[in-house]
Amino acid sequence: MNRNSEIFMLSAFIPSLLAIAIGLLKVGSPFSRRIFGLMAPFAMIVFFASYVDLVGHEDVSIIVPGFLEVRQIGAYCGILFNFIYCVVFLAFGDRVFLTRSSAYWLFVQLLVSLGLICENMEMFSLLLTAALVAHLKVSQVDVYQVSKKQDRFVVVVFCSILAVALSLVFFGLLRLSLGLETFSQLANSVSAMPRYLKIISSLLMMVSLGAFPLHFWVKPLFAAPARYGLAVITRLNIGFIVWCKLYPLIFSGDPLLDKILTYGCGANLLYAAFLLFGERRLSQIVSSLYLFHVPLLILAVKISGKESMPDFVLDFANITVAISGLLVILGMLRDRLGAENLDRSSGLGISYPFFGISFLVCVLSLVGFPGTLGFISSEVMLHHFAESTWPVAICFIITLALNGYSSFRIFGESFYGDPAKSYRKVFQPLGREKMAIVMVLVFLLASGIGPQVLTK
Amino acid sequence: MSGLVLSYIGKLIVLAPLASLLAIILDRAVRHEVRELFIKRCLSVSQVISITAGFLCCGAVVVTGNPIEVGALKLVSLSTQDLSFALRIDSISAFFVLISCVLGGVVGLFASRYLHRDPGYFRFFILYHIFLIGVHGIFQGAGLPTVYIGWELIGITSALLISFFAFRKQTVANSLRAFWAYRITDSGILVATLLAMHHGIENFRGDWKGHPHPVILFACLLSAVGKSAQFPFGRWLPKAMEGPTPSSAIFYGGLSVHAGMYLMLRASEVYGLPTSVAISMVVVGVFSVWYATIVGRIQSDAKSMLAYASMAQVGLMFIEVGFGLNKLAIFHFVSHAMLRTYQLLNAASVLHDRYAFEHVLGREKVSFNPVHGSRAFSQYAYAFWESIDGAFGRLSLLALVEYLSRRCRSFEERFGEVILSWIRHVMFYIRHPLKGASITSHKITSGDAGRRGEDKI
Repeated sequence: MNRNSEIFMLSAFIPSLLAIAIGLLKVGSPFSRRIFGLMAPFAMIVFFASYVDLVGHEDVSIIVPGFLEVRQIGAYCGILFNFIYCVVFLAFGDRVFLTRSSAYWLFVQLLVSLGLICENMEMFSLLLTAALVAHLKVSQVDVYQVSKKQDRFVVVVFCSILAVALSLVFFGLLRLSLGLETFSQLANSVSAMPRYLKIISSLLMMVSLGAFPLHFWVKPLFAAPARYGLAVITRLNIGFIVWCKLYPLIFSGDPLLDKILTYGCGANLLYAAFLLFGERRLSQIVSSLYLFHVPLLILAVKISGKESMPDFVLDFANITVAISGLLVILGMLRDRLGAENLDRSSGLGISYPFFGISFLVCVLSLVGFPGTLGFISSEVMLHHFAESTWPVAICFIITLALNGYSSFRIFGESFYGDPAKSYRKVFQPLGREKMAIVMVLVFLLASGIGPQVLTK
Repeated sequence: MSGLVLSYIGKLIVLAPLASLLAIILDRAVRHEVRELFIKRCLSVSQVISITAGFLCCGAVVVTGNPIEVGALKLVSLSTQDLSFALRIDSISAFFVLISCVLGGVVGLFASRYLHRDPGYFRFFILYHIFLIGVHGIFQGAGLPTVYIGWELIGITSALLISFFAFRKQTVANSLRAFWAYRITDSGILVATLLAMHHGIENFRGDWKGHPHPVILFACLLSAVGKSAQFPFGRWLPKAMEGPTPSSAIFYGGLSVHAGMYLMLRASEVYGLPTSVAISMVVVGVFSVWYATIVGRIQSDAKSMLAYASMAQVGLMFIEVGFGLNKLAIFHFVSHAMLRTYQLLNAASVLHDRYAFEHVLGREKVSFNPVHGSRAFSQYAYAFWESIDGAFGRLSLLALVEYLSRRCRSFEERFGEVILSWIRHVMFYIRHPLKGASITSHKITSGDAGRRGEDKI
């Protein structure tokens, strides 16, 4: 056990708490705004550094063994979550730093970080409930009320309640029937678990991640207006932590569940590929790309097996970072154009190549193009699929081709073509926004050329 | 030279364009402006290095017969094996590498003048450099994964260059059409790569003829058909001519269109060619030649005609590879790539040339502005150079291609004839420059491209 890592990890919460306190106490004072503006990204960076410190170690217990622990996969997720939070805070800093809601967003992210290191299942269930409720509350106030899109919000609320209910039922039943308390015990007793519990856990994972057919909330969530990439990213992070905690259940050894999982994911791949085909709204295009990658996350863990877990971390990194990059670009475009239909941004890439290039790189990474992180992750997954389940590999290849074409069509239609009048007054991207996007691009391209840094 | 030195020199072939690409991007980022001269210099230096290294390495391979292991960049370690970007030059790839170096340099320098003051100058050369890296990935790839990386790089740069004049709706639609064909057929090489990796036969160093897997070869054939615009995926090729002329020349005349043929050539050498695949190749080739020849004859513009002509010639190469005539296919590639690139580069200036010659001969009063020196000297010099150029391009290379594709006479006889004819013409032009210019002018304007397409150029 590394004592320095523990101290470092705990100290990461201090700036975050301070930032939240300053944000909540006084918004009006210019001094507090500036302090908050500095503190919030600082908190993110400290979180980031603490997780990096933990990556090289085995599982680390913090304060109470069996209560707060960091696993390697948790450390990876922590790094990625905080990286993308840094990016989004940087891009939309001018708005979120001046509102009280930014403190709430930071609070939700704090709950997510706590969830990552929480080892006790009941405690995790409570944190998950708190994070989802806080997310709903802030979304309701901050996003949907402003845009008067309450009807969309109802679907998100329903799915969040379903996730909370499933988690409470699942962890409660685990305690009652098997007497399990911690996630490490869960990993060791998967084979002894009754089938109905496995089904409940699968449903919980599906609804948390938004896997087909429990993906109802994904599209309404991505329709969140304007710059609130934070709303989307925070909700996705909540889904990811559930997946990080429950992934050992994928190795259930139950042949029926295995088949359902594998072929269900194959169907999900095809569904998402065809969904992308006729889509014309930019936000829904990003949501379709996300839906395409959700089954890959599940399949990657299942097929790569416990021994080659680092392989699927590549895909996880690709999804989180590229989707975040697209959300930031989308937010920037929607802020400027006031709309998200492809026709409105026609010709944008000619006048503002920065938008075009960054969009193209993120999209190409999501469809596995050479030179990007997506290529490495898709190659790794295809390799594993080819070794184990050929039908899924063929599904994946078909969907990669379809998605590649759809993505290029979207790029061509939205950024090329006759310049539309609507963007002629579009402002150039701000320096801060550029920096945020460049961080994403550098990550995707650099790790595409030298992914050893991630896999080691 | 030792193998180690040659491997270092071989690295320069890819590293030179890569360094040039980085320098151009860095310059643009630092200065916030596009400096054409800087781009041109970077390109020139990188291409000189690349061509020199290409000549040295390919010469060494041809003379000694020993392949050069250029190097490998390990991308990621998988549970059972590694995924690497590995390069290698052997007797098959030597000619392809050499031609790609030469054409890359020539067309790049042509483009630096052709696109002078074009708003997309920077974009063009970024994509052009990426294309060159992709081409070297394909032709020097030491295994299917490397070829796949190059394949995808070429695909995306091709699509982006077709839509170079992006404000036109039709250009974007054509680009999407080409990309659609690429994406569908690229699945083939992906399947082939995966299967080969699954069986551990993905690298080209070994002789895997004892373990042929027909699916690998059929998957390669699917990709080759798409990339080389063969029947039934060939309709994108004439539409792809929407891009700037230099990119059309190097993609659809010189290199990219031959990548499919190269893949099949390589696959046949490494894995052997089962009868079923060979027959499929021949059938594809025959249909493509038939289709392209018929459709090409009714085209009304020069570039479309040339596109169909390329499709037909590559179809012939497919037939040659299908019949196992690999050396003939390589020779055909060399002559066709040179000629087609020349024709495509020249297509845009045929009318201009015609007017210039007519003015020199005094037949019509067409304005002609000499660029340098005195009027008379410039005109004579220009006419003389064009005579040589035209004679070389249209007689010697065309004759070689015609020999390979249409006539069945022996190589030595025809080659000797061509050389003699070329020498005769040169001597004639040196003695009588004005008469020579007259003849060449007539030949240029009454040639295939000029005769049918001059009004549309």
